[in-house]
Amino acid sequence: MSRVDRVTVAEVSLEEFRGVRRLWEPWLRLSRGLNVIVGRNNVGKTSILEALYILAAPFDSVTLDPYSESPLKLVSELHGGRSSLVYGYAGEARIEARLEVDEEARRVRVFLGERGVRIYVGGRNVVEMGDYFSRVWSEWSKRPLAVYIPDDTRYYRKLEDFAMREDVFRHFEKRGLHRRVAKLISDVVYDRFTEVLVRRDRLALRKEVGGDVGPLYVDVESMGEGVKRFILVYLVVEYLNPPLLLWDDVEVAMHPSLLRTALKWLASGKRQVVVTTHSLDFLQALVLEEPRDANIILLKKDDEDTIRWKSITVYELADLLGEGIDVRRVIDELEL
Amino acid sequence: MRLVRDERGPVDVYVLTGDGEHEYRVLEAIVEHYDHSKMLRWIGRGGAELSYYRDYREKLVHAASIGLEGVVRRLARLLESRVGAVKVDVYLVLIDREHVANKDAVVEALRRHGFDVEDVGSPHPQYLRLKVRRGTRQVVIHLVVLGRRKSIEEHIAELINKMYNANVGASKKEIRRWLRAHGLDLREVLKQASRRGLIRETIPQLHAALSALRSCKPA
Repeated sequence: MSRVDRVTVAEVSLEEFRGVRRLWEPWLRLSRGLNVIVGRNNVGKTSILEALYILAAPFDSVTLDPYSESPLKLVSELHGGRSSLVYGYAGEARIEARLEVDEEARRVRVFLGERGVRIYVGGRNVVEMGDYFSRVWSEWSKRPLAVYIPDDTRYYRKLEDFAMREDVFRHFEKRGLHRRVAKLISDVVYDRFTEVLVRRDRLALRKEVGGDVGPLYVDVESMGEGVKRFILVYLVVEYLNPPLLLWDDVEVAMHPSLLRTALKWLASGKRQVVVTTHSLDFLQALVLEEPRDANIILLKKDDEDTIRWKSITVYELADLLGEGIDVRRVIDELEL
Repeated sequence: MRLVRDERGPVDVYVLTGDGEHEYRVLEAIVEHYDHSKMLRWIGRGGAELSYYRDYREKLVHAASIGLEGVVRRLARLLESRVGAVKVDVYLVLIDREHVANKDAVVEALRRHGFDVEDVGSPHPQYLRLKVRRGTRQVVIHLVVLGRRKSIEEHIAELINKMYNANVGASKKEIRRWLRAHGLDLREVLKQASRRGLIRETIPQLHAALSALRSCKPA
């Protein structure tokens, strides 16, 4: 089997999925790099991430790292059950995507609902997991197509459990990830951390302290929430190296300096990334960093639960913010 | 009439200001006494704190984002169709007297930023009603100049002095100090002033503009 170098989602379409009845323009375009979705609460930002995650492996029987459960199960559990995946809790949801697999186009459709799960790759109905993966990205391996980070502490705990596995942590060490993430954190906090390690069955950070004290070993669990989240996401994603990273509410508990560090990493070009945010600090960091291939997607919803969207570039965002216009505030009056 | 910042739109009028804090408080306190069906969204200033990030590349941007120049630039950006046309055709612009030499300065600043300007009649020397066009977009600006010599604080001090027989100076600091010493909240003072018709007396230009907004088309 040939090795695939790059898989990206070029466009995604949703219909009757969770709170999204439909998209005004049927296809939502994504950039190959960083995509930042902005919009009011409950507009459908998270639904887009979850739809993309389900496409990664739309089978109940699959267990994807790092959570050892299927995307369908994860998304269902987050929202109170399987019926929550379908708009109005009845009927059938459709998620569709046009993928680019090493420049070749692939079209995937998934239907969820009263008739179970139906999957099509190209026009062909697919029932076997192995068949799906080989048709979608010509490669079947344990490497997940996507990693999703929901804004839910249960799943951050699962990330920590995964990171602490001996077979996983060895890879962190071998690749120097345990030191690299400590350095990234140390640049934006007052502490000087040298590495992440497993100590007394816990994930910990080695910390150097001045004078006669130390080194100390601080449990990651007892770190500030923002630092903890970044460390876990960085380690797990670097290790699993998915083509697609989905991260909901990326800014939670992060000081602007840490947000900027996170942004630089997200925009480093190693993978396609889709995040959601409410944070002006994150948008301002985008303007400062000016990542290539970045796309800001503004969403709004009408009273028929139809999502309208508009993509703007980092330069357009810079123009607006530079003139004191908070783009989050004018979305309702934008012609989308 | 309602003033919103982040609440859901769409709205009828955007409010732009060259400065911020007290303009917002005044407007928020008094708009409910005008026609209730119109919605105003406070776009405000925002410029100074956001343009810090451009400082290291374009230091001039910081100075240009406040005052008349900042307001006109913001207006130009909102009307540009590149990002997506903003469907608001009426703008209430609040600007301190210290930033505006005279009506000609306003017209000149607009023209310098590519606007065609038509004066549609100004019922008060400190209230300009202008029809402006930029590209394919045409909007109406209700520009209110606040302060007799300097800023809105003069009107606020005058209101407090009238209502409480006080002697407060026309500065943010003095107003804040006086309110704190008397256990009063500016919002409540302004609401009272509005109920007693004192806004019409002390800030007639703002009263005229808010009255005129009654007839702008709803969203």
